[in-house]
Amino acid sequence: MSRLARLRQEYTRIKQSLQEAGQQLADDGKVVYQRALGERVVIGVTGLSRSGKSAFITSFIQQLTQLSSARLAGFGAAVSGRITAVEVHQNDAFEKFDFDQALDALTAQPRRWPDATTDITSTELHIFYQHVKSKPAKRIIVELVDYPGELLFDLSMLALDFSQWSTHWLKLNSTGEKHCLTKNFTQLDDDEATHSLHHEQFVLALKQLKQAGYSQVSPGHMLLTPDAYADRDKLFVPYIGRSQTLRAMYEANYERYKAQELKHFVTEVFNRQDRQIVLVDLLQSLTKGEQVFDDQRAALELIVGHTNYAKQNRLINAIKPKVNRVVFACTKADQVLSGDHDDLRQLLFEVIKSTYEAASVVGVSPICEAIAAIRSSQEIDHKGSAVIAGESIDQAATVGYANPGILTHIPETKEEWGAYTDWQYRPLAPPIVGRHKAFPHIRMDSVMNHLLEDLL
Amino acid sequence: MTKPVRPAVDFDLGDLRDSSPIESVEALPATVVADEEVRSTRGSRWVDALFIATGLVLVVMASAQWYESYQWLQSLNDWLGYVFAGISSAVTVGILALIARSVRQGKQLARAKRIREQRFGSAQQLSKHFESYFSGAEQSAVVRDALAQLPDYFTEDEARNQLQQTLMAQLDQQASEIITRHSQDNALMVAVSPFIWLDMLLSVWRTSKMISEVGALYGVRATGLVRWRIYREVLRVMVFAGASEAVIHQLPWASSFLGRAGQAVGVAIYTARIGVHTAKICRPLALPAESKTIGVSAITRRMIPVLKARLQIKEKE
Ligand SMILES: Nc1nc2c(ncn2[C@@H]2O[C@H](COP(=O)(O)OP(=O)(O)OP(=O)(O)O)[C@@H](O)[C@H]2O)c(=O)[nH]1
Ligand SMILES: [Mg+2]
Repeated sequence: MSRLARLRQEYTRIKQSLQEAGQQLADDGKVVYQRALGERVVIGVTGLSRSGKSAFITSFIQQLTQLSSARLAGFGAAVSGRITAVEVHQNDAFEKFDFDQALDALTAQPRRWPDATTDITSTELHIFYQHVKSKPAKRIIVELVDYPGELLFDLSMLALDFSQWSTHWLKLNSTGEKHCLTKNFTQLDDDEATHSLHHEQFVLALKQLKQAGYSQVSPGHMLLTPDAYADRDKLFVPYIGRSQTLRAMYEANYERYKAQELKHFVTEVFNRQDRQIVLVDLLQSLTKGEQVFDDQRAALELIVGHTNYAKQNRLINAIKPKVNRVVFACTKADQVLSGDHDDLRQLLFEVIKSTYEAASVVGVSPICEAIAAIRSSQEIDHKGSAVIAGESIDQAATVGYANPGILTHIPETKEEWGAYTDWQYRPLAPPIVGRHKAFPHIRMDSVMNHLLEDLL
Repeated sequence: MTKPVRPAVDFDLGDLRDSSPIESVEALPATVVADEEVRSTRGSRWVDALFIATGLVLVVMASAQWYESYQWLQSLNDWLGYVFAGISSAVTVGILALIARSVRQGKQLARAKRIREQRFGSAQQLSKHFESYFSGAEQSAVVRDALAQLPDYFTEDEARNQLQQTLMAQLDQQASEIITRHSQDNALMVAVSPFIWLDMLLSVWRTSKMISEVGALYGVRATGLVRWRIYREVLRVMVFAGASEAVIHQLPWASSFLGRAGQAVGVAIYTARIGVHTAKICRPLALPAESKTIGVSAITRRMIPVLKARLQIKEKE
């Protein structure tokens, strides 16, 4: 009797897991099928930490769901009225992108920018469109995935084993400001007794690097959830010391990290994209000076270098996706005068040019834009001068300024850098927006057009 | 030596917040820049000077002659002199008015060319030129709407691009209808008229009507002299475009071996060509080469089925 019960229990368990696996397979199959038919497209919103990914996705959704009030003259499908309806759905493969929470923050009193992202989240936009009024509307599913930018830092690990990574990491942080920021960690005694300090000092060093605006800060997960890596069977730090025990332990943990966390991110997020928008906060890095700027450039190189760009048959693309359209966008362009947007775009082009040329690109030409997902300033004429007017982040004061002119090349001389590092650069408060009204923006329509026009 | 970077400047906007809260960022009107004299782009100065000098000499000579005649008439009879003076001043005023109008319209043509070819440096400047170019025209309200749609952050290129896609596309649609209608009518007329010389006259008249309608649509009011100027310009463009052979080939009166229907289709294509060139000359933004609305082949493709149907009916009768 008890044996029979056990058997039955076992049977239901197996059945259940088979069903689940089948469901999973069916779901995966459905997604592949939809992609093959051109009914689903995955837009990779790519960008380093704080580059504006979450703001971009929030604005993207709001522009499309509040189409009647959106100003999207540069987006043909919206202007021509081809888009008949847009619905927001949950993407079952990931956690939910919390659009409502982002709206809550933007409309709160006082207004806040949405929080920094800590998890991989996603949302699906179901866009219904019609070419001929008399025919039934078709649907395309646009998948948007949001993730903490920190995760991109780890792409450098892909090609490196533990000792290579350790050497790389230590070399990267051996000079200039980075050396100062990390020296408490790098100068720890090479001694098994101090290993308890490794975690503490390493995490501190990572945080300080990030705080100073650097982009090549790995491992990203450890930066996001430092406490989860305190244990002996999780922790690893760059190590080239003498202790075999420590090295063996760190190496094992490093490999496990790569095989689990990193692999998950790369296969489930990074390598799934069909179209890519790379968001770059050039203004912030300009104001932080040459070292931070170069570091950002190297990080972008890493991202572009790891992306597969190619135009390929849709069927093949459904199985092994490659990026067939890409937009590089300089974000937060609302912080400079509109007369400088073109130069900003040109500067971005300079930054990514060599990188992009070096990447193995087959027939995919990128475009560069200067955008603001949620425009937080206005340009006014103040006694004859063009001025950017906005509110300070605490909303206590009006901020008015004219930004330093934007060079169309990467600054070279001390004077040129000085113009930016001396600039008192302040983040702006988000604008007053309504829940049921499209946000003010800069060139979101142009980006949307480039990413979606051929599909609608 | 590189140019120094424009330095950052901070502004104290003080009580701006109280007077105009930063609410809807896009409610901000595009800044209006002071009106700048729009000069017509003309040929070299000395040619103008020569013309003016010659004109002056002629005017002086004519006045002298006129005065002689006047004195002679008056010596015959006082009233004869007055009537002569009255008539001749009326004629002078008429001529002057005609000249003034032509000059004005000719300037408009030059302004279209200028907006088309010159860069103004900012979207605001472009808007201003556009607005003043269309001021007083029938479509000025539509134009203002289209300009108001331009976001304030646009660069000049972006503004031109968007105007092409909105305002100009809308005007092109109408122009294309006008051209199609006139070309068709021209063809049908040729098909029924018994005399070749009558065809010629009528089709020239119709074509010139089309020219002024298309011109007016794009903001160039073309009457009298300017209409003929466009006509001339169109012919010149067509000849220099290397299309002359094709054009002559399509001239119906030059190819009497073609049947009536063939001639009619030829006339239609010829008229459409003139229409398209008129659009090119009068359009304040360059006609995109890949335009699907304004193009001889596109218009022809639209006309052919109609013509076929109509002409076949005629042949059967
Ligand atoms: N002025 C302005 N600031 C912006 C805009 N978009 C984002 N920001 C600023 O940039 C910050 C970061 O934006 P997020 O969208 O959270 O950036 P993220 O890429 O999602 O960052 P992580 O989630 O940490 O990777 C915001 O808190 C804002 O201060 C914009 O359109 N205009
Ligand atoms: Mg985020």
